[in-house]
Amino acid sequence: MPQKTDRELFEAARQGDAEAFGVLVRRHQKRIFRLAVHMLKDPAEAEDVTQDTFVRAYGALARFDGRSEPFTWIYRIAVNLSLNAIRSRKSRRAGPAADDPRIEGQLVDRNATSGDPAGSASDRQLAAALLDGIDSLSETLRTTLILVAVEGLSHGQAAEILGCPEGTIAWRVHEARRKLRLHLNEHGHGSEGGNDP
Amino acid sequence: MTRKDSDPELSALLQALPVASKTEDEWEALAVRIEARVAEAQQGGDDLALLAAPLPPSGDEPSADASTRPPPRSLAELARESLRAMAEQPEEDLARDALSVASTQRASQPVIADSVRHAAARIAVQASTPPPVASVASSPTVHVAPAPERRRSVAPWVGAGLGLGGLLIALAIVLGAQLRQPAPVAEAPASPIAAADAPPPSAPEQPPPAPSDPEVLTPEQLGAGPTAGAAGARAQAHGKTRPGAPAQSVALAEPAPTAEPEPPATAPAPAPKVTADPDEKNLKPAAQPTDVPHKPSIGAANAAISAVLGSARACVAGHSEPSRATLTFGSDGRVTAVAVAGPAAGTGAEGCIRSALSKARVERFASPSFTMSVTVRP
Repeated sequence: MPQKTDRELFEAARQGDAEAFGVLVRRHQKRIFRLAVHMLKDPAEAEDVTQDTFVRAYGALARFDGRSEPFTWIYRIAVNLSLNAIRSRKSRRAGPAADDPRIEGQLVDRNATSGDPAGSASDRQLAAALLDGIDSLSETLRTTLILVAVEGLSHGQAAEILGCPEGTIAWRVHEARRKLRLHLNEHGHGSEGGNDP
Repeated sequence: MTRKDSDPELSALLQALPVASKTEDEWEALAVRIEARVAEAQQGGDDLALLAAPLPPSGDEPSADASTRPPPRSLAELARESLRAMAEQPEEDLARDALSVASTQRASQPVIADSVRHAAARIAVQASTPPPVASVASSPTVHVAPAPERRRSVAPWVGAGLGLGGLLIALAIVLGAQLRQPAPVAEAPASPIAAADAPPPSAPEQPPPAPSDPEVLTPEQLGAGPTAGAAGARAQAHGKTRPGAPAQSVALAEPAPTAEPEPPATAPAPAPKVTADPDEKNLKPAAQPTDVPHKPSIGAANAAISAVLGSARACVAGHSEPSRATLTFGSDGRVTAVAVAGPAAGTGAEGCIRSALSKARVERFASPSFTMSVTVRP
């Protein structure tokens, strides 16, 4: 039996098919959770945002006009909820904590592929500097960079989610990478050929 | 469209960043929780804010999106637009523009005078024997009178603008000379401009004439000005003007190089008469120009006479015996007297010979006169 597309599942869910919406949840929850973790730097808060995203999406199914892809529509809700959560915080974390879930997650992934525990210390420093650089970006640049460079969305998809032209997305990504590279260079993680103009 | 990755290391780091550290059971538990909440939720909520664009572009963000840019225009299109705009501009406007430029130049007379002085000083240093006309006429033009834009349909106006520019250049030269004292005659022999630029030691200071005063320079004077100025400067260097006289004004106001110095319209006093009175030599500064010989060389004199001897010989055609002519040159190099002796004397050939030989010219020399005899053979 062929997999149903997001649009078909959306249409079914709109007709009251809870099972179809469950398929959508399982299909996209990982990506929504990853996005929330990178934006919020807190797994528990990210899980809450993930749950809220799908609940709000279900409640707004009738407003989905079909002009965009369903998953970008859900992404937009997730980004809005994450930004709301960030703005509602009384104080932001000054820097990446030692147990930053993003660092741990990256190290788990890297060590699993390279099998080099000896390099974990330098990897941790590099990861910390990288995440610190991401956090130092503005809200706009950081969100765009996460969507494109981390989540792997295309410029068109990111433009659809964030509601701006693709050219703006391209500029934001370029600017974010440039600043990130500068940040890494300043922290002793420079690359010989890696500077963006 | 494939985008070139200028920093692959950074890209790899960013792509390796996201890792969802949950097991499949944990993911399934999360999905169940979401389904439970969804089951309690009702469709048709009014969370419109969540559906709005989270981060729309701000005004200060550049956009590389081609759809938001104005279509690029080629240079040819820009040129055509410029030509259309020029064609739509009436000639009256162009005339006003030209007059505006002229008035602006008039308003900036001190700057013009400085430019002329600087150019003259530079020429005086660089050229030992510069062509006076070209030096005076060309150098300041570059600095003072930028030519208006050349257009096919506005050539008369361009010409008028250039004419005005030339007029202003000449005016600036006159003003510069009046504002500065001319140099002692013997101090600047190499360049007439340099000589003219030096201030006169005792020249009375005069207010500069109004730029628009038609008495200052007429177009005819403008045309003859540089040449006349050179001749006048030569006359100064030759020591035939009084040191206290406004030599620069005299030089620039002379209408023709062959004319005797005339009082210029702007001169405070009539120009001195050219004279060879030896007493006046005492009034000159002690330092004589080193490049003016005491007398012309024999070779130069022979060359000068040879140039006109053919005409003189034609006067005695048919005579059996040669005649002799004695030429007297003035210090300015011109023939001041011709005495004819021999068969031609007392005949019509005498005047013919005198007229022919009077055209001989030698270089200036310091001595009051120089005499040379020549045989005019038939």
